[in-house]
Amino acid sequence: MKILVVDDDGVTRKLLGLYLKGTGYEVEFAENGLDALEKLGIEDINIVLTDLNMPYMDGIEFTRNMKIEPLYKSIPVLMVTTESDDEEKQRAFEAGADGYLVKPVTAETINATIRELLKRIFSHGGEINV
Amino acid sequence: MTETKLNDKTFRELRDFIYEKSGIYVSDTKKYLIENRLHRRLLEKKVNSYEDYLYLIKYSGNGGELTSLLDAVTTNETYFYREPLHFEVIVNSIIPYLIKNGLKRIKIWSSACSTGEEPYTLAMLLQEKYPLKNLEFEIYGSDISNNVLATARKGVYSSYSVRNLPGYLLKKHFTTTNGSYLLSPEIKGMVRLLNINLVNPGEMVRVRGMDLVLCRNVLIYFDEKAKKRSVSHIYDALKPGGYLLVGAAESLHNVTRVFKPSVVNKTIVYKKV
Amino acid sequence: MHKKRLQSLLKKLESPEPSTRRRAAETLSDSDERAVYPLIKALRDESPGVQEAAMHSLVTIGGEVTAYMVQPLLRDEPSIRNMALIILKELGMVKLLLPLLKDKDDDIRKFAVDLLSEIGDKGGCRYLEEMIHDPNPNVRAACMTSIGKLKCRGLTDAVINALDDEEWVIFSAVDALGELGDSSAVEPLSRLIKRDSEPLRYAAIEALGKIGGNEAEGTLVGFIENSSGTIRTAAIRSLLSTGPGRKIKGISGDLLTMLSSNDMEEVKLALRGISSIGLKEATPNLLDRGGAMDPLNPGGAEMIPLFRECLASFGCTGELLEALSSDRLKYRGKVLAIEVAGECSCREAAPVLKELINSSARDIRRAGVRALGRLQIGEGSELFLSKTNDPDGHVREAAITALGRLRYGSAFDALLELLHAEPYINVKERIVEALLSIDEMKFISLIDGYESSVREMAARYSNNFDTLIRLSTDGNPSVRVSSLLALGRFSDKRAVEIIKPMVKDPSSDVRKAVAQSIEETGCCKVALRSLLSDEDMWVRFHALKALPDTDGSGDSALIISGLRDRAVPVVLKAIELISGFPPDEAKAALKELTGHPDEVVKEKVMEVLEQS
Repeated sequence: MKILVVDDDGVTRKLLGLYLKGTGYEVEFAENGLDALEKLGIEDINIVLTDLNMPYMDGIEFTRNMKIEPLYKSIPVLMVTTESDDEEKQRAFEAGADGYLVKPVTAETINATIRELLKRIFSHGGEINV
Repeated sequence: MTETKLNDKTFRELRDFIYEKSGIYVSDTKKYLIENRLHRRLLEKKVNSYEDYLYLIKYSGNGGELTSLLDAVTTNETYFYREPLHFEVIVNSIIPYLIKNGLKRIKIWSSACSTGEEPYTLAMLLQEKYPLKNLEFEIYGSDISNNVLATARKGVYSSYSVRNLPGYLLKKHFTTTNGSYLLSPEIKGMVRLLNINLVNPGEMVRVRGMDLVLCRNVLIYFDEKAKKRSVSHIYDALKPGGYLLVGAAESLHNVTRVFKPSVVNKTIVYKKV
Repeated sequence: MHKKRLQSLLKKLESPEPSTRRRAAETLSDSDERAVYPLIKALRDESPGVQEAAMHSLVTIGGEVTAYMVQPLLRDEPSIRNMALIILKELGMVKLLLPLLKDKDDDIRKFAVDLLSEIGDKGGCRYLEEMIHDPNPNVRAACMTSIGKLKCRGLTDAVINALDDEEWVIFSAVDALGELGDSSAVEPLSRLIKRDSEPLRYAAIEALGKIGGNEAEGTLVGFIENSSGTIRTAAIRSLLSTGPGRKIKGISGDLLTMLSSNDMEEVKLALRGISSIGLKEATPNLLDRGGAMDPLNPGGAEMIPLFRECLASFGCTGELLEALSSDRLKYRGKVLAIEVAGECSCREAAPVLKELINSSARDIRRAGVRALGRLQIGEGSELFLSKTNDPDGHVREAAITALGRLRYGSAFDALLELLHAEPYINVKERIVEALLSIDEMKFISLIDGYESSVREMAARYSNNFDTLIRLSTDGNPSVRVSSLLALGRFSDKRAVEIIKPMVKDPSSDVRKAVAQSIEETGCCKVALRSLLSDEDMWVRFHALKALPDTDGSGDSALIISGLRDRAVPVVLKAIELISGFPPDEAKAALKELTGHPDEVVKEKVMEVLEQS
């Protein structure tokens, strides 16, 4: 199970990466939406964790791009951001995000949310490459 | 000639001069490279020190020495069919897509062609795959160094340079003499060679309306500012919907947002939105 | 910018053609505040090309007005917010961010904290200090990161105190402590290693590696001895990054694993560790990994010498010899092994090398001939001679160099033959050097039968006085030039006699060489006088340059007269020389130049006057 962590802050990427690797997931990293689109094409990604505020391509635009792309639209997108107001949350879900967490997050929260997302995929008969 | 050393101050002045004129940023770790490459130039111009050489570059009229300086600093070895995957993507994905959109004449630009291997490889492969009479390819190759362009015009290559080519292409387009490989006039004729400096907007205006631009393994020599400038110029050189390909280890994701990345066969292809 | 022009551009900014709008946005960078509002509107253009051009132009226009008008965009939608951040970062005005630090919105405060570190102005440190206790944890964490990026050393204690916060903030604090590098952090970090949280342990280990020093190293060594798995590797990485050659026991396996990493920083650390413990058993791994690097990529070009260094530190080993003879190594790995053998003067490798120089791969032949040349083995003339006909220029060059260095008399005639046919200049030079080294007298006696470029090379490489005297009267000016320059190395009186009359040589290059020669020998000031008024500016330039080294007084006046030269480089050189005068003299001499028409001259005069 490979997770793509997208965030422009190196320290955040490191921490989220450690949370996920600690659970046994494989982790790839990207610095912004453009970087993430490139990595999606090269690596076999199962889930995407993305920040919202990033230069060159933010998390909302990135999610929108993912969801119109036949190859990627079934990959669950979990937004992990400092933005807590409802307007942003609304925007994220309209863009196609499958989950939304507000930073700071704990290892438990992230992993529980990911388990939920995976359950949803399985119950809808989706495929996952482990 | 006494031992000439390149001291830090002179190195910085040289580096600034090179950067100003070409966008190429010579990092501290490459100081020895400049020293070595310019050493020969100092010998040729009978100049005793790098300091005097700086005077020469700045004040020898009509910028003649600048050309030699850039030649010395930028010559990078390349070979035919470098990164076969890229060529495959071009020939089997990008070109068909352009044709599907109704294009009858396709303009391709190899923007750091060095001694010519890249555009010539394209010419060979495209001629092989698309020999149709009603489809025309206009292939351009450019570089900042006159030396390498001269070599490209001659079209004589070593066995090292052709080592990656499939045998049938080698046989079809080259004749051998004394261990050298001479490229056929037909393929040479398919490529127009120009001297263009990627960071110079005045020069970049000469290239317009491109459908595909290759800019492989040159951006790595630029700093952030020069990268942004040259990529911005390339954007202007492309038609809307045109494509840009960079080197395998390179990416534009922290350079610009004007190109949309897509991945074909593990290769990142940028499209002018 | 003229009003009419501005109006026209603003109109073009509304054109239906994206390329027209983009060009207009680009050109508006020459404008001022009047263009700011329209450019900000253009940030919302549907074409990213227009957006980006507008962004760059706003940065170029700069100024407080732009900064004030861009700030509100931080509350806009995400793509606009992020462009605003880039613009504010480039504008770099720390003072204007201050009100944002007190904003009600948590995210705006966080943006401001991030911007402080991105702008890079250390003056931001004191504003960061005020944000350490912000009510929002994301702001606090960002504050830690920014303190680390800006290296606000004075805030180390405050950051250590933040190790009491929630995990998200502690993590950033630990990272910051690594960046700050203060050893007072070692003790609190060592305590963190014992805590429950894996991420915090990793972060603390990494930070200790960045801080370095005996205490940190001691902690890391202790940790390594009692750990396994990825955290052990992290600790080893950290320890190796503290400095060269710390010998740690029992990490050979870890080093080999690190060597195969895709992270080049990790590979570099592995190389350091392998060298320091002298792990020669790693030779096959080193050759494989080093051989997998592509020398044509800057990354590969940087790494390959490091591999070579590491291997060479073992000297000539059985492992190296085995690798050379084995078929297993791919060709770049083989090249690496050959280079190391040469560097270590590994004589036992000679038999294998003699075979390898017949390889079909040019890089192997090149490396092989070079290495053999360094080995200085007894027999070998035949061997090197056969390689002087190799199709590859570098191979020929290496073979010829070896023949010259070893002074093989039997090679003389063959080299003479080659001189006619060789197309590459640098190889030709090696031939000339070799011929001079083997039998100079014989070669020079034949020299008139060769073209001027050969004679010029002979002048350049000869160390024989008589040779140079002879060549100094050659018909070709470039030969005369090289002889003169070489003669300059001899403080022999006879040299002086040759040099003096050449001030009247018809070639300006020769006259320039006379000046350069005089600079070397320190003689013949009289000869310089005529050169100082030569018609060629470079002759005057070098004549001026030669003045201070010759004996005799009255130099100052001559140098000062250079200030009135009509050519800028000569004036600049005169200024440079005058900067070495006693301050009062220099000032007096340069005063008159402050009104010089050339900008560069004026600048240099100012520079020198300020210094004295």
